Amino acid sequence: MLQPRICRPSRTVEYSLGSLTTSLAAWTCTSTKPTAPFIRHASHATQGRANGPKDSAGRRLGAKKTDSEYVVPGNIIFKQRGTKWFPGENVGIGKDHTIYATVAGYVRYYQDPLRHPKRRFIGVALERDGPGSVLPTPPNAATRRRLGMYAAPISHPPGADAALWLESHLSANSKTTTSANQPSGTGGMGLSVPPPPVSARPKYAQNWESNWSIGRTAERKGITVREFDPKDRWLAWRKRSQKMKRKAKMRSVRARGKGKGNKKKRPLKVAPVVK
Amino acid sequence: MARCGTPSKQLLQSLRRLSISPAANNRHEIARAFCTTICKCEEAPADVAPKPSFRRNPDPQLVSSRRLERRLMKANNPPIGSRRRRVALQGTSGIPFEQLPYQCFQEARKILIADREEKLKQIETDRARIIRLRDSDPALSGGEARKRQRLKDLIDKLEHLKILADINDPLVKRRFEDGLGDMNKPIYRYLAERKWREARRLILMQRITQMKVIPDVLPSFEPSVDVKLAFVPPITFSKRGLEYGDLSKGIRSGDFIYIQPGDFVDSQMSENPCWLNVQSFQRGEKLVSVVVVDSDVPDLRKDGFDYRCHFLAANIPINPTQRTINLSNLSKSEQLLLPWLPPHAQKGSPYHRLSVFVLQQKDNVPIDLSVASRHVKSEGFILRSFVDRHLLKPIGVHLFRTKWDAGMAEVMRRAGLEGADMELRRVKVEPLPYKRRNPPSFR
Repeated sequence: MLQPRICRPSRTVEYSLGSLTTSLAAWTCTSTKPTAPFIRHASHATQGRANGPKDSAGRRLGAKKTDSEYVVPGNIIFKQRGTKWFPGENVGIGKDHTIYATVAGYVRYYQDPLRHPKRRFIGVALERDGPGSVLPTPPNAATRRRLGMYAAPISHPPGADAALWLESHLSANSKTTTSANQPSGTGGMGLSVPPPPVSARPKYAQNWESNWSIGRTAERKGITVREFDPKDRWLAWRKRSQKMKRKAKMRSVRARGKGKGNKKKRPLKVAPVVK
Repeated sequence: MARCGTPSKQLLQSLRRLSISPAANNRHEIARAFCTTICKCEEAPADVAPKPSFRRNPDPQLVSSRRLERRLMKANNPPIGSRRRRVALQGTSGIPFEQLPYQCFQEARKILIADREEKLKQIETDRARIIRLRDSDPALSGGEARKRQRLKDLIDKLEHLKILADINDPLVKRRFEDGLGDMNKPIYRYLAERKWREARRLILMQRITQMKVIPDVLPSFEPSVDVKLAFVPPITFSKRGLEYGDLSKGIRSGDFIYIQPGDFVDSQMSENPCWLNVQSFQRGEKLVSVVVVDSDVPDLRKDGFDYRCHFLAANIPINPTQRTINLSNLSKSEQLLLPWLPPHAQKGSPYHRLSVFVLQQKDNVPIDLSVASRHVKSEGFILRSFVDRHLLKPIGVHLFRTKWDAGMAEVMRRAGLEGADMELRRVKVEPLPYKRRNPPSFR
């Protein structure tokens, strides 16, 4: 912004003239300079959309469920900007601070001075009326919970489960010891990894092997891999140098392919494989 | 400019001594570096019997190789301090701590010793004062209640002085950090309690409040003893699960496995009763009861949860040095009320919290088992009422969790428990009917 120079006369003139110049001369010198007029330029647009639209559509905030209304898990109870209401019992809060129910029950709007003196909470009570419907719950009482489950016959019977589990956890090299320590419940089954099972698939895909079965091919064939030892730096160094040689070889091959034949033909270097 | 005269005879001698025997491994070498006389140990060489080699007889203070450490561990004589410290100690000449030849250090020690003397004198006077007050007439000291209060204040002050007398002693600190502190002495109890309150107790409180043990099982309480819980697994485990026979890694059968508060414990590991390590920080013996409560037993009829007691024993003595309680080794006639029931969870049920409570019996009065057993039953066990009936004070807690796993069915079969063939499934909550509001306006 332009500053009007009114108050401060230029002292440089005075100093340059030295002691010969009187203060009167300095005064005459400055007074001849014209002062700039005070102008204030606009630096901020005032019209149009410059200050943001103020008349956008409403965000549909506010209560979606009133007090003591029945809700099921996932129902939105309150939409808000910021936390006007905090999540209390049996409710959750979303990333835009939406309050939603996590159990089926009845909505309660309440305050809990023991938890926080100023906050307002939204909760879901498990019962509609009676002493169990009051929120907040007393501070030292056991929590009110609902099981929400029913009993059914087990889908994988325990014996078969254990057998499956054993199969999936046994590696090829622990075969011999397992037969001795095997629990009596699983029976004396052959402890070999089963062949890939045939599943219901379209005709064209009948012979495809599933990915998990491909992953266990080595196990089926009884191939064991040396266990990775992070402290074995000697092996790591050998492997790394091998890899670098392989890369260099690939690079040279690629470079030969790129040249249009007029370059000198380099001999192909092949590194011996370290085992 | 400094004078460059000939060096003194004494200095030359001492330098020669240093240069002649630089590798002399005699102890107290440094302390005698500037002496003109010959060191005693140099005078009488090879007089003592040859010591067994370090390899044969490793010193737990100095051992640094892993193999020797392992050998010491097996011999139940674990190495002391960190390996770094042990390596550092190997290079020193082994001068006793009090004789370290640093002037500032020795001056500081003098101050500490003087301070200790002062504290000991105060202790003596306070002891005399307590005896005098005990014998005095209550009318003189302002009534019975006032006398009792003054006595209590004096005893508290005495206990505090006992701690102050030793708290600055570096040797006490070292002995405590090496785990060699004598828990019968107030200073080591004080240090142990401080260490427990700084970390382990905070974690424990966080777990029991976050997992809601505190309002669910007992209303509220402040633990004052350190409880550790260990299982001795009957079979071998790996990190993924149990692994029969592969002993190379993971948990071996017969190992002591300490459980962190709130850990999930494998069903086969918790099939046998656990061990407790209850470290009390107060002087004297306490009579305690131990309860293991499952607070998440599914109750289908109630559509809620119930409690079950998995273990209950009373009249167990503990004191600061006698810490371990083997729950499988208690006397049936005098201590055991409910024997160990293996923790179990049905398939599909939410995890079960098993909280272990240590409850102090009032005035060390033993509980009469024949009377107590009349009211105690495993299913629907409410710890709050048990505590109220027997005037118990909860002093320690531990927590572990259990859920359905691969070995659970076998464990339940062996314990003769029903329910391994059933699983719990979630009841689907019907969504609310869609309400169409003011349909004509949407068209």
